[in-house]
Amino acid sequence: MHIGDGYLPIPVIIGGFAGCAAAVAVGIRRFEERRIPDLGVVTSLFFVASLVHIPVGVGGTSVHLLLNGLSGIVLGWLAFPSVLVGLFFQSTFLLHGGLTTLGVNTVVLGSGALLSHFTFRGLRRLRRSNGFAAVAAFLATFVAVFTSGIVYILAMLSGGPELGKLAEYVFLFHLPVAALEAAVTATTVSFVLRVKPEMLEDSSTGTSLSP
Amino acid sequence: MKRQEDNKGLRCHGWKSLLATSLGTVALCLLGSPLCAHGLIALARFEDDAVRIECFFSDDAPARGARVTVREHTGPADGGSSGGRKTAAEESRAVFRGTTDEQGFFAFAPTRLAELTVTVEDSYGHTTRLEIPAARLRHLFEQKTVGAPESAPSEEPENVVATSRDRGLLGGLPEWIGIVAGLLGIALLTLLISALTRRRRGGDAP
Repeated sequence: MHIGDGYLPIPVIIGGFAGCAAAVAVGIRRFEERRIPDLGVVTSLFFVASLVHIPVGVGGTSVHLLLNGLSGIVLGWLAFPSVLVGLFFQSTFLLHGGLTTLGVNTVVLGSGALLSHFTFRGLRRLRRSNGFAAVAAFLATFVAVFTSGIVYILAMLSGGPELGKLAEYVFLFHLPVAALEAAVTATTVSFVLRVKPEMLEDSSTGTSLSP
Repeated sequence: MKRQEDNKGLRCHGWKSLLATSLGTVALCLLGSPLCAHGLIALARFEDDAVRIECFFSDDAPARGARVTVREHTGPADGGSSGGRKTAAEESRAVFRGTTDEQGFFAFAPTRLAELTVTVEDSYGHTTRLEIPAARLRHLFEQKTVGAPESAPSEEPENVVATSRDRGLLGGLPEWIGIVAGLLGIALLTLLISALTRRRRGGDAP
């Protein structure tokens, strides 16, 4: 779900940067020193995971892991600066995604991350066992991929109906990958809750989500 | 005091996990290199009196529907190849635009002898670029004027005119170097944020 340079009209690109700047500003306002290692780890994972492509067996098309669900669950609003940095390095070093579309791509992936964060928090309030946390992470990841897919389609539609159609295919191809991604996220969350539960602490309220 | 110790403990634990995860991600890349290697590759071949651009991913899957732009270098009209990079946009103009077919192919017939830059971009944002020196196209025009088909330059196999090897800022280097560079960049940025935060905290302290 990376949009390259030259596909989107200028107003959408400007709007993307504006939205990205606002979201990153909120993320920075919620920044805490103890979050620095989490930020580094999650950004590295996001950077690498996006490079792992999985062939879907249709006309040579392949999709890649997003891991924005995990970013959102761990970082909350800080997922926006994390995604921005990850996308910037992908674009500059690997020509994956455009530089002019950096803002739009950040909004696409960051919006999914943020909704995944709220979904996970909401579900965790229902039940606080580690087993249920894995289920919550699984569902939150689906929410992340679905949300990012919808925003991606909307952004691509602004470039014309043909791009919108293409985006729909990309979105559909990502759904099976979402299951794999959800499994990875659920396993990671389950592991983190055992070894470093404070990593999943709600930074806005300071409440621990460990059982 | 207890809080400070807790914070110190958290910091140590955090940096250990950062190191472990960084090593883990590098290992993931090395072990899963067939999956990681998904760069967009383009090569140009002679096809009769045209040049065919073949676009595919590094796992050999064709890049269907990728956008191709052919720019003609309009510098000194000596038809030669300077080999240097274009520094101004007005030095080149787009002469062909289109998308690749089901096989990832796009063909065009150059109208004059000039250095060409072909940019290929798929909808996922992968981009690659190849340069075709005018000297490599001379064969095409000689074939046109003389009318006697000649074999393509023999130094490249199967009529390959040019291949793309661009990799962002690290143009020409393998993809794994880009991955390592990106991870290093993220690590350095994290260290920078940490240092700035520590300095700010030190400044705030009475």
